[in-house]
Amino acid sequence: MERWHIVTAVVIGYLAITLTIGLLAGRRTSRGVTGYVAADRKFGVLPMYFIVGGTIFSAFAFLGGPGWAYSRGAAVFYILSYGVLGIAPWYFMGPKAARIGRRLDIVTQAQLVTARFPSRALSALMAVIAVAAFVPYVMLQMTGAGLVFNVVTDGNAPFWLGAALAYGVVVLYILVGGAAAVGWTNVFEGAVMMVVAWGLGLYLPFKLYGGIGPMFEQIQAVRPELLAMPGLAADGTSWSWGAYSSAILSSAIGFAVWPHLFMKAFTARSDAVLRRTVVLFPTFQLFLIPLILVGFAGVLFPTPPAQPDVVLPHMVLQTGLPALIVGLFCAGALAASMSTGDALLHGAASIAIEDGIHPFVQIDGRRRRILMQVLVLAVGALAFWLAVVKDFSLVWLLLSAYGLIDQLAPPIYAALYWRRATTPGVIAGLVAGSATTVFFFLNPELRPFDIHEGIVGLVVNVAVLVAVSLLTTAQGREQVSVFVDSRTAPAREREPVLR
Amino acid sequence: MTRLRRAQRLAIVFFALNAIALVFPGVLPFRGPEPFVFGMPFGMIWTSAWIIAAFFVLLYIDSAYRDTAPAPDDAES
Repeated sequence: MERWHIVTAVVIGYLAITLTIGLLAGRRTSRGVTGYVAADRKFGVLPMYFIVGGTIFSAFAFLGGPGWAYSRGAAVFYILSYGVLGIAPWYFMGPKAARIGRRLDIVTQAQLVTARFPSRALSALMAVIAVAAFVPYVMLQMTGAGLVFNVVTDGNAPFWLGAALAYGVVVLYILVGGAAAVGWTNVFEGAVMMVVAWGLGLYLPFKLYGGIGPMFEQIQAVRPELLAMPGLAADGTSWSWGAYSSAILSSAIGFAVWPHLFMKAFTARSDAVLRRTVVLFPTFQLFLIPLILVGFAGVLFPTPPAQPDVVLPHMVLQTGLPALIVGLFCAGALAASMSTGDALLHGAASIAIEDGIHPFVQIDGRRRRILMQVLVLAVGALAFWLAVVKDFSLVWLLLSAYGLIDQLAPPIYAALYWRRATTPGVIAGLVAGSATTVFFFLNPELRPFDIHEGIVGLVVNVAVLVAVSLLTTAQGREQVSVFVDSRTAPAREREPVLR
Repeated sequence: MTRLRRAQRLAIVFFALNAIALVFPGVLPFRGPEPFVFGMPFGMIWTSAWIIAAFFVLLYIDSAYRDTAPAPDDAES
């Protein structure tokens, strides 16, 4: 039996366990929209810890992170920097959103914003932005799954087959189990990826260099430019401080408002569960350290990988590890990809129906659930096709998605914290910010001080939101109070968004 | 000032400092690879130390929250 046969068998075993968990998890939830989208709001601290960690740390962390450390050195410290900054606002914002969600029967981010700022156009706009950002992000996850499978089977499994196998499993358990399946598979996937990352991250530097200290001393002697911040740009020249700093800020701001993550606030059993999830998050974030160590271990590795994003599987294969360990590594990388990809596919379908279509066409809960399942298939097929026919860097895909998602932050913060914000102000800000982001994304040479397009868009977004809000009629005190004073405001029903 | 209010203010100050310390120009004094700490470049240790510090600050804030009377929505079902 050849080595890649054993590796494939381990991966198939991992996929079978994941599928079983996903299929079993969906059996206990109700058949309506709240069951499918928010798992009946029943998750406790343990599943929420892995759901948040697994959703956030994706194929990018597992492959792109080591790839950046290997090729761009200290530039990779930006991915260590933004996670905690990004999750911190969730400690306050998450429970507040969840509380309003329980009172008004809200299950998506746009429903929350349009409950405060009633507008079908706003709901549709937020849905378009979310889905437009999700598709490249899902592509990224599929690309990661396909790359790993291809490399660890010595090229015997083509790229498309690895992506199709992993995401065939994902689509199946989302179709059957919805948010409950996404949540409980994330517990398993999150545990697998953490064990594999820490195991490899501590093993490889010792195996190749005799320890972490000796590894960095040798890199300092041969490639000192890799160890000083802000590291290197993609072309090997020094990265600018403007790009480094704005990548951190853009990612931190976008972090807490990614719609698929934000929606998880509506799945938690209580405010206390959400707060404890945020408190524990830094312990999950630390798993980036071993992945970065692995990337640096590749710098002086005797043979270079075909591309930076595959430096981790490349070293795993070339260091003579047993096939079982290689298979477990592959399972860890697939877990990282699938635990994010499933939330994205489920989120894209839920958002498209609940925020993009339902405000315009009244559809009962059972049909909405069926439509979501159809869309999970459609979005999965679209992302798969794009991933197979296109070739992008993992990090480039992620950074481009963050620029658009940043623009959702002002509407959400305004909905929850600013009394004077108005519907026209929020819509005008969102349109202006998104247009600015797209413009600078397409014309990167025009960006001031090399600052990320999402941050430039955000500045325009906030300025327009504030100016237009102050120029238009303020909302009534009762409407504002439900959101800004969520602890003390009287309960009320959510009205359908009709304007 | 209640303990909860103090904790909330601490959170704002801590995370503002956290942001300043990790981006330009606040990170400049800590950008270099030396001194190596636990064998790792100082920039990496500096960035990681903020994650660990954030964990303890969040723990403190959460303990202050738990000491206050929970709102009805806070009750575990």
